[in-house]
Amino acid sequence: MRGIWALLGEELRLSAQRAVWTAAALSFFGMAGVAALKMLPELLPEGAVLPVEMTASEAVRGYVRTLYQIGSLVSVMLGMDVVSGEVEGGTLEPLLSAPVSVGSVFLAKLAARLAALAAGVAASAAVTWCYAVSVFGPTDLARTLAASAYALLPISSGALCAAGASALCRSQSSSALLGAAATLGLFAASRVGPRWLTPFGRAELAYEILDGGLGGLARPIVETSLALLILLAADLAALLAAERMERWWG
Amino acid sequence: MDGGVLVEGLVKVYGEIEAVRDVSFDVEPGEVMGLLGPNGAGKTTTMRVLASVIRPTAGRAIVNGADVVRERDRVRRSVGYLPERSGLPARMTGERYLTMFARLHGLADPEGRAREVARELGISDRLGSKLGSLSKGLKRRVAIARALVHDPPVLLLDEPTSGLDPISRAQVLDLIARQAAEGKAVLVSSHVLSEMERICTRVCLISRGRVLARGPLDEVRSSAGRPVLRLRARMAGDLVPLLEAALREARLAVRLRDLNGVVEVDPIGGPGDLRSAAAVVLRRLLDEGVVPDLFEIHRPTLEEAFVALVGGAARAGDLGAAG
Repeated sequence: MRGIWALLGEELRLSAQRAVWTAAALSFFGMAGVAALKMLPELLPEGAVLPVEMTASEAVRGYVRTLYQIGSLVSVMLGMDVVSGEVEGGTLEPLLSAPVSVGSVFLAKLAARLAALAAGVAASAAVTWCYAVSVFGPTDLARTLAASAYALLPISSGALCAAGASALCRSQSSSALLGAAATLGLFAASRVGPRWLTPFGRAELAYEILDGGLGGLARPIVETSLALLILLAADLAALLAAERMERWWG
Repeated sequence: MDGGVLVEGLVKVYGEIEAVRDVSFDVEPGEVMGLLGPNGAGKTTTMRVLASVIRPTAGRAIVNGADVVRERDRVRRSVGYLPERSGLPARMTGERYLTMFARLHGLADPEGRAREVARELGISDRLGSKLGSLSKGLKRRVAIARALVHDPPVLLLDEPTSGLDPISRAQVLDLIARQAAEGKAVLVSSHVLSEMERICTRVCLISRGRVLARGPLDEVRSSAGRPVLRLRARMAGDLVPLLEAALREARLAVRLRDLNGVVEVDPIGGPGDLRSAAAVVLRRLLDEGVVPDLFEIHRPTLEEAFVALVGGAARAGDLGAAG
């Protein structure tokens, strides 16, 4: 992994802006969910039974649901330019003429984007929790953060899928489309196949953490992480195949 | 070949397209070799192979004693590569970018070296600016600084002066010449042949992936024809019959051509005949009281050689294809 640390430092610096945008986008959707829950009684016909409890914990639950949907999309957008962005900008060629492997370039860029995603999720979870508490009263911050941290694992697969696609595609738009399709495929597979097959297979665990059920979490977390590692291995295989096929040079 | 470049029978095929076919040349330490050719000739592909960015399909390329396929890491440490596109990340500052490359090459004082090379290129005052905000010329200089940051023994420069104004161009050409004078082997590709004539000691002309000519500049230039005498003079009568008579009297075998008022005297015999013809012509003109506006020995330029060789090859290729 030659040169990975030198690259990672720069990539992390460049990813600060990505983290801010990610936090802003996820906070917007998180707070919109809280606001929608607050307005729900006014929207329902008089005398209708509320489908959910009007509590801060329910609001946070809605935020976690948003994370799975919008967070996965944001994740795809973060990963779509890992290689194809460099190819489009012409920045890959000088990088690869330095003593650095393409695997290092890929891993440094992917790690920086995942760090931006993690920072964005953490910030948006805190912002949403603050808003939910101010509207509905107290709920546990630690559980909110822990549930968001767990949800980060499955939604990271969006960035991994898009990053793998970016190694195979020459444009960022193609990478985004292929990455989004692959992420949707993983999500669909979690509904029909074995639960360990995809990182989304244990998605309900985030809600269990919110409910306080913290026992027996180790195995599902390991399974989800393993599914992500398999995805990463597939990415690296795609990357090396693309390098061998010289797909990036006109 | 320590410190230099050796290319033997290089072939690079992309799918059905043979981008480079049996290309061979070498670059000695301390010399600037020009890699010339029309668009799509295979120059960039050759450069990429030498920078170990892509692998050759066949043949051998050695850079500073290291094989571009088997010893990629050594090659990359030895080479300063400037691709045709500068390829700079818009959101990074010049200082951070050059420092990152110095770090990738494992230099002891990356920040210091980045500042030093920026000073050499005259971009010190813009090092703190985001690369995306720089002019095309400044971006090109940053890209050149990136190629030089690790002080490599071999430089591969693909269109180094593209997008530069005349003053910057002259500075970059001086810098290239200086690098060669310091003992680096420099391979430069460019379309601006007058620049190549200024800095190259040898050239390799390729077209459609094949070498058309290779060797010292004078040798390649002479493939476009012999030196000729060119003159223009205002006089009452016709100049050509006057000169024909004079040269006939001197028993010199020459061909005379009138090119829109400029008379070209082409001695069939050789350089000795050219000197004699020039003396005879000048004497006769002065005897007639005519002072020429133009009187020069014209040697074929690289551009004329380029047009002759590439045009000839294209015609031969077309004829071959038709046949």
